[in-house]
Amino acid sequence: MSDAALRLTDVRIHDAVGDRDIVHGVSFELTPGKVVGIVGESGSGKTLTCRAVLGILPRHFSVTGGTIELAGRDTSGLTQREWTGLRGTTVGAVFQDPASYLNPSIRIGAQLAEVVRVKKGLTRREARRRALDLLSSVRLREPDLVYRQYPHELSGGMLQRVLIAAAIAADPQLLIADEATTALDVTVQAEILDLLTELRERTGMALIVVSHDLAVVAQLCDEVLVMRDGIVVEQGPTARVLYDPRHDYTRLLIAEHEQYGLDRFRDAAEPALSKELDHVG
Amino acid sequence: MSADARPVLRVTDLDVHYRRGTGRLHALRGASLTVAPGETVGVIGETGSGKSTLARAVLGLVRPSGGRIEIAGGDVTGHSTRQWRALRRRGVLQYVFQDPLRSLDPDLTVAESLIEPLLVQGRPRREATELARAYLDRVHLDEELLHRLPGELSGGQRQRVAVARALVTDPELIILDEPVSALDSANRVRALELLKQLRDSGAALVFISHDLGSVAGIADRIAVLYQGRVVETAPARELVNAPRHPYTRLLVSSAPTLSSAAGDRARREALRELLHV
Repeated sequence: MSDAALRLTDVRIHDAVGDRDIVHGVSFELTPGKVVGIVGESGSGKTLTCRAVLGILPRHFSVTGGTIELAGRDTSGLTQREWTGLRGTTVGAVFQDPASYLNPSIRIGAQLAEVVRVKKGLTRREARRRALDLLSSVRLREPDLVYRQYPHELSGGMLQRVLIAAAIAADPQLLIADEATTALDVTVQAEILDLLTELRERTGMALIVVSHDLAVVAQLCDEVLVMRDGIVVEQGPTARVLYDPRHDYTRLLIAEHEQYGLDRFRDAAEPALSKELDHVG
Repeated sequence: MSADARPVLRVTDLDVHYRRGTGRLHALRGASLTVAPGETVGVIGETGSGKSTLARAVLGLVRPSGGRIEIAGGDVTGHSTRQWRALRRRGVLQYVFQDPLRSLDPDLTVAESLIEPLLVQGRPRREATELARAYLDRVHLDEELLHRLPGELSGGQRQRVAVARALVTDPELIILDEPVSALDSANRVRALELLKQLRDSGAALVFISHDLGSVAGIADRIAVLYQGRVVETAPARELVNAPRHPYTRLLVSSAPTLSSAAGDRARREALRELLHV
């Protein structure tokens, strides 16, 4: 037994239609309050790995090797009903396109209260109060107003906050954010990332942050996995990966940022950075 | 870029409204921007900042409700649709949009797209054809693409053709609206190199984007558009290292960088309070 919220050991995912392995052995462990980042392009296997952890792999994909333990429990052989029980209460998730996870014709509050009622077994009145609490805990400025609004009345950033509220409604030990800020403006992206950091600090929830952008992952994560073509090409503490990358692909991701990102305009190295380096070295 | 050079573009207190159902959307609220000959000015803005409206207004595609637009010294604010078309045809003013299908006529082959503006300028066909080939070469595209339609090209190739087309008439001013946003990272890197070539052609560029990182690499100056106004203008390095307006400070501290902006969280919170966002 351990106190890990999640442990993946050499997880392999197979595609029955193409008859080939898509993910070739992913291992990491996540203890409460810790953040793991997975970086890679589309097709790298990062999203399939997350879906395996949620028990929602598309039909012809299956985990054919290794183990996934959620809160100490081996998930192999779980029934659909058992998975449904785990989702929300043990593991929650938010994705790139929040609008597609909401019913456009039902008000935000009713949808959120329904999640709370089902997952926490609350009465309607209690569920309403809890839903309002959740809307304010994700820093929506006017929770009462948002409660009565329809999805189309909210901006992308606000919708993502609502989805985060729904994902944490049943106090999961683990939250997966899969490209959750990719479609947002950069200031809104920072709001969502700050919110995730705050929730982690406040609740001790563990986080998996998935992004194609190494910089997004670097801001939040204790440990980084770099994936390419289903293989983890690099894995380690964030500072080590950033300042002492061992794989060429990681170096390429870093070089892209140094050449075309904002980093090259910053005057001098920030003191915090060299301190971290000392730590690693 | 001397101070007394006649600006190639001067936008003064520009107002643009759109009708939205029964209401009106105030897209630009007194935006001002000056671009000197040969200068590259980045305009950075997020959703709802009015950045695409600014591009459209400067191209004569939307009529302002107030303010003034001067291009190459002439006041074009009150231009009719026909006068605007003539101005764009003359080749003084060119444009590249995010989706190159919008800046290229889908029914014209690459060759026709490149040659037409030169014919309109009064050049003989043979000279125009030679120039078209030369410009295709400048953007590293093979001559055999000359007889293809835009729909038969890849996204990256289309973007190159759009850039070549913007260059052929040797324009004084090129408006680029999110020219690299639709491209994946490998193509984006190549497109940014291409834009540097545009800059070196001597034309003045207005590079409109939401991505501070890609704009900062090319622009001499960056203007920050927020809620329909230019709230700050400064050279790239200065803007990144010493932003003045609260929104610019929020924007810079929100941009994901490898030197980790995670420690800026408290600062961002304070700026959001200040801006009421």
